[in-house]
Amino acid sequence: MRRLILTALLWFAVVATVDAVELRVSELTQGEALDESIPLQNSIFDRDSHGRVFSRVEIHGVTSELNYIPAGSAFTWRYYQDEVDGDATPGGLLGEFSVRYLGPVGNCPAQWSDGSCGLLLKVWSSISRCIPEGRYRVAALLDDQVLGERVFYPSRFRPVIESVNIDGVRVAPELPAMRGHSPLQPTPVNSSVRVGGTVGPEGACRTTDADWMPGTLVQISSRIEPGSGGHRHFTDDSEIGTGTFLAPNPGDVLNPRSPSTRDTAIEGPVDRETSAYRATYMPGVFGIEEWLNYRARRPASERFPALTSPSQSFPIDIRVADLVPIPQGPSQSNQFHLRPGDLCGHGQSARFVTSEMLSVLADLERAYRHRFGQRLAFGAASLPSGGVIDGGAGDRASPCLAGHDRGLDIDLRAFDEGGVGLRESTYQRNGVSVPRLFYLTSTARRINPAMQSVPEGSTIHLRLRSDRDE
Amino acid sequence: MSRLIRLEALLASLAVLLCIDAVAVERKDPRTRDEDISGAVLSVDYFARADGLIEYVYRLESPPTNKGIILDLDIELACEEPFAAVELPFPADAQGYDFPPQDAVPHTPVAVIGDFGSAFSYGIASDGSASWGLFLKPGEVRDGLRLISPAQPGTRNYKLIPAMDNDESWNYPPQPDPGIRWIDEFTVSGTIAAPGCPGVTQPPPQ
Repeated sequence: MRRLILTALLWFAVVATVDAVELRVSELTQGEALDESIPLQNSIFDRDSHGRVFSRVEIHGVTSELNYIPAGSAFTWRYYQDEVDGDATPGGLLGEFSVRYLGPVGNCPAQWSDGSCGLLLKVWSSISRCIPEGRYRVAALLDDQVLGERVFYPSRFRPVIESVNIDGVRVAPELPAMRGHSPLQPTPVNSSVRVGGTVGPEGACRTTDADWMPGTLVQISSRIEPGSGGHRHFTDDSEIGTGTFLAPNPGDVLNPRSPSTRDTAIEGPVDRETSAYRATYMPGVFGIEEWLNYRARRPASERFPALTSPSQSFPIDIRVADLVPIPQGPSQSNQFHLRPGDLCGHGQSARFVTSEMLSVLADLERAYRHRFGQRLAFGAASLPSGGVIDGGAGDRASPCLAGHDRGLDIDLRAFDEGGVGLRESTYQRNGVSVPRLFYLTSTARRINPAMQSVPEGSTIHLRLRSDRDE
Repeated sequence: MSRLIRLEALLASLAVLLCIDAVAVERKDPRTRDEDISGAVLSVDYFARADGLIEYVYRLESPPTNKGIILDLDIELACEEPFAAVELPFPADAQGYDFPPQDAVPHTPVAVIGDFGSAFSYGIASDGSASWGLFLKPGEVRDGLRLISPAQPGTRNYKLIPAMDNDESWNYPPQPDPGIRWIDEFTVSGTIAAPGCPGVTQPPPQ
């Protein structure tokens, strides 16, 4: 009986001790410091709002001393990044943090190796916000005994466009010869633009690790500034770009949001090693302000919602540079002036040419005025940055003066300002008679052998060819 | 009876109108354009003048078999290096210039002359060639196209350039068609004796 009583007392003592002192791994919290403990929701560490995730071991039932923990014992936190491939499988150890209990030291009844003193266990481990994405497991141990484990998922990085690369395009003022077709032809840009950029995580987190944001997509779409560059016809409701994206990379999708974008939008995955995305854009028209909109996107997953970066726009510079306006003035002025007309409803917008062309026109006009005492009447030239001149009907497919797109063309009216028809009226000199039209043709070619003139109905199309055609 | 006559007259008028309309809308296929001037013959006589200069006299004949009108004759005179100033007993840049002569590339000093009835304009073009405006139709001949220069004769390139109009009678397609020919395709090139560049231009064959 006595043995039974002793056994019962010992059991009671043990049970009482166990009940009185309990080591408990608390739920993970997040915040900037330990005392700012905000529980994780659905095991997700909201790294956009909080700097760290904390793991603590709480000791319950301690009143005066920690003599049940031998001095020298160590609390250790280990955190692992699990492989997430279907089911999570245990992954590698990523980090470890320990604090050792030193026992009563001096006036401190419970001294810890991190310098803190107290009976309440304040030791904790924290993990900063810049850890890679994935599934994490935190294990707290007392010496080698696992006290408990917690799992968390850092929220995904929100993507941002970090850098953009757009090759500029200067459309050379070069033109094919007037052979094989009527000169009223649009000139294809024939210059593709390599566009691209890199994607990174929003905020201060930086890493050289590859595949930081798996599944990130970049979308690039082109749009126009309606009516810019004098292109009045580019005012339709779509405002999509003039060109198309070419030769998609594997995984790329044209028109990701709507087929109405007509290949002016593309979306594809970033390179897993470089976080870069590249595409090729072939503008259809130059001389108009065209923009590329960039946006990075991460589709929704089972655990996380979709993330989208802010949209950023960058201009594509596709134009004929350095066109100069044809000076205008009173017809009786001694100074050289041309008087462009208002063909195709473009008014004074279509009065730009290259400086070389302007010089030729000035000489031609001077020659004609010297010979016939009248001024030539000029019509449309080119828009300020070149490009197809439309018919003003809101229809991109029906250009008015498609050939006047590089500052090398101008229409000469078939009547001079004195009303004399250049075709009908004959010029007689030195015993030879020739229509004024061919006097002009011959003179223009002598001024510059690259000049060609093509009579077209009520106008005479003057074009300065490029050396490339010779 | 008279009503019947009027009806017949009306029908006849309609037929005429329809006929005119049919003619008006029938435009020519530009692939059929033929401004051939390849039958033209350019010849030259040159001789030393009493003042020591050399005179070149050109003759251009366009046979009746030619299809097109020859607008211009250009003879290359450019030299890579400019000549030293040469005193000529007449204006070196004769009449016919419609642009500042200083814009022309360096060329052999020369007087370009067109006798009466030979050319409607003549002079040095900006590429340094002598150029005559001819408007020479098939079956016509032009004499008196002259150059006077201190330079010895050399083998020079020439070009005959056709006059081409593009009025409403041609039905050009909306898209380029390599089968359609324009001025370049009908331009005739060849070589002829003309003032050369000293030490550079090959002498003409004897």
